[in-house]
Amino acid sequence: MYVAVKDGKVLVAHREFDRVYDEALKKVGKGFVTGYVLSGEPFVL
Amino acid sequence: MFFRVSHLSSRLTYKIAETEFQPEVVEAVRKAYGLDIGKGCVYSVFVSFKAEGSWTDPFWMIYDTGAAVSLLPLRFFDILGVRRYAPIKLMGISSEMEIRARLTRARLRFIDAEGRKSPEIEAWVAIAERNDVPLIIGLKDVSDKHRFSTNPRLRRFYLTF
Repeated sequence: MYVAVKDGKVLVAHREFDRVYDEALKKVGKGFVTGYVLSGEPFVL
Repeated sequence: MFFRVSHLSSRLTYKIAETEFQPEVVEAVRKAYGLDIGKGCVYSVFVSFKAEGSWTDPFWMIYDTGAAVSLLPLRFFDILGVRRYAPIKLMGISSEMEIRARLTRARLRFIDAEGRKSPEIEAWVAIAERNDVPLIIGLKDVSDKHRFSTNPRLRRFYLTF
């Protein structure tokens, strides 16, 4: 599972990296973090 | 007057993240042993890449001491503006789990939650020809650039450059 996060808020979450990255890019342009999250892993920024 | 240029080492700090096991795993262990397997842990880091002369936003990647080379999803082929690569095949935990990838050079740096940055590192990275692979920092060209240490009591790990 991939997530894109900005200012502590999840912008997009999906199982395909490109979908998450491109949607986040479209939503906020820049300043977001994209990552691969294992089951139950806390995404701490 | 002479000035001496010295290399100041930087230490980046990361939390050791706890992970849940899949419910099927928890249940299988409970049935076989009568025990709660508890939680696992993962070392994750923020990494930024140099693309077209500037640094990307950070990516949250798994720091994997068992990975020979770093791995990225296919979308990175465009993000990094890759022009030259060697086509390769990567194998996972068995030879049946094979994926095609493009081995290329990338410039990257680590960043921690406090904004501390590592020096720039040039490394071989494998870009998978699919978008559902984990983002992994492997050892090739990375392990020889820093010291890795942990403090389990504080649940922290450190990369010192």
